[in-house]
Amino acid sequence: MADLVKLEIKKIFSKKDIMLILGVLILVPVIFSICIVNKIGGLDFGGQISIADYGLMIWSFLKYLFVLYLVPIYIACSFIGREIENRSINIMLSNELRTKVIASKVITYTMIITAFFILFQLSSILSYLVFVQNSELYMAADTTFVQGIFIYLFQWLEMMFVLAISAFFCSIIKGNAALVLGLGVIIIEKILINIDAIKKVIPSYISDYSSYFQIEPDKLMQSNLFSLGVYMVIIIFFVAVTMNIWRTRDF
Amino acid sequence: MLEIKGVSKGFGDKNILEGIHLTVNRGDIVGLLGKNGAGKTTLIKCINHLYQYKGEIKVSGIAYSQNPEQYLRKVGILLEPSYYDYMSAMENLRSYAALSGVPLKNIDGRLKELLDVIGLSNAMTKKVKEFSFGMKQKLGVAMALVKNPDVLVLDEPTIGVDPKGLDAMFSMIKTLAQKENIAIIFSSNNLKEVQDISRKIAFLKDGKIVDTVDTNEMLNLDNTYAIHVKHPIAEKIKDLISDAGKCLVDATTIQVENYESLNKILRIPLDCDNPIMDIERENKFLRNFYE
Repeated sequence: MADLVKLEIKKIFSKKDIMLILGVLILVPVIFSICIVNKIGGLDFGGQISIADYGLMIWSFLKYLFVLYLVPIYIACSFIGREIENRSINIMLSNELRTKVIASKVITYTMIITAFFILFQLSSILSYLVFVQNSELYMAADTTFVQGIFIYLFQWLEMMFVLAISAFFCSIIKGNAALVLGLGVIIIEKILINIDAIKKVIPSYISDYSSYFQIEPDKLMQSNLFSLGVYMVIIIFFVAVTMNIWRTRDF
Repeated sequence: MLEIKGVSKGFGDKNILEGIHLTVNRGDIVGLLGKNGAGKTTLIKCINHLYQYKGEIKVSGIAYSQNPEQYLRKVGILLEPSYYDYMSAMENLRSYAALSGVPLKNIDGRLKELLDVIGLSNAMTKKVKEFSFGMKQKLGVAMALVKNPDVLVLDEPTIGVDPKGLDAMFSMIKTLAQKENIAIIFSSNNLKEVQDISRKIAFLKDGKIVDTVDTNEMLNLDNTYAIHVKHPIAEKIKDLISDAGKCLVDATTIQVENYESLNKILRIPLDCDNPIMDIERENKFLRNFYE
């Protein structure tokens, strides 16, 4: 398994576009902070912002532009979908068990996306501390430690959810179609979160920070744990189905 | 040793392979001959377990279901272009070696040797996306050999390979069978290639092995010949030829039915101003198979 993971990492870093995505994710918070502090490009914030809200704002902005969703979808389509299409997957399948191959891919992409996520959050924190903290925009943080942990956790889990559905789609249909379907699922989620009866089990709703304000403070922990359970069930379901597809499909 | 017992494979309602039985002993080279769509690649994908199938395939006595990892380690395969095109030839080989469980310590010497044998030593650091199709095929053969397999499975390895490269590849395949005692299965739809390299030929037609023959025996039996001469044959000579043996004569070609007739016809002084340009041998069995 370690050899498979090493190979996947090598493959990912052999592709310049992945490094470009990483560069963009790191640079966006820095550029954004410079712009809002100096009111460049018409970005007049007109208020104050805490360090936690700053990270969330950039995160939401990139989500709104679908950039964040594209990261896991792009990685899955490039290294699962495309490899199945161009048959280079045979290199791994000729030597290792199918379930090990897909498991190594999921593990590697989880590691990579986690690293991207951490670097992005670090970039947000550092750019806030360097540029925003000493400006008139500074505001003391108003979120508790536990809240902060859950916010980061749900943001990360949303990326994992998108990765899991992308890996699933890439295992059953061609890469480009999988990319479209992946984005399609996210759009459908955005529609479903408007339905009160089901919104609490929709990943996009769980990861949306603004939904926390609708929960009574004493029920927040209970609600967070429920959401965490929902996320885990959905992600494990898609990973298990994908593994089973790999175990039985023809390549 | 490769043992294929009753292997069948279908897609939907369509049967691609039906009850295939084939054995390839160590040191043997078996050519898998069939038209496009006969099921050659499907059978090879079953051997490498890229396709699910009914029946049993054993490599050195091990079935995939018994020990999948050990089974895969014993099979070297060249199947369609399977490379990381954004990596160099050497990086592809190293990656393959790592996956195959080959110790990477001091592996570079062996990999360079492999690239040298197949004529890719000048391109070892070049990215595979810059390779021609023939170069990719050669690299594929090298990759299949990285793990010292017991069974080597080559799916149409000669496509796009230049004549010089072809000679080197054939020589290497023969050496592997003889010296390394590897069982080799080689698919092609080119008769001459299969004749040149294989000791046995398995004929695959509509998903079934219709016959398995010894290449030498087959080539020595049931041949027809075509004698091509430079100028149209004179009428008086045509009569002499027709009397000599079973044959058909047209303007510049004499179609001869068998070896005895060929010998008789060659004893006739055809015409000193009309030299023989070529004598072609065609195997009736193969011709009938392809018709």
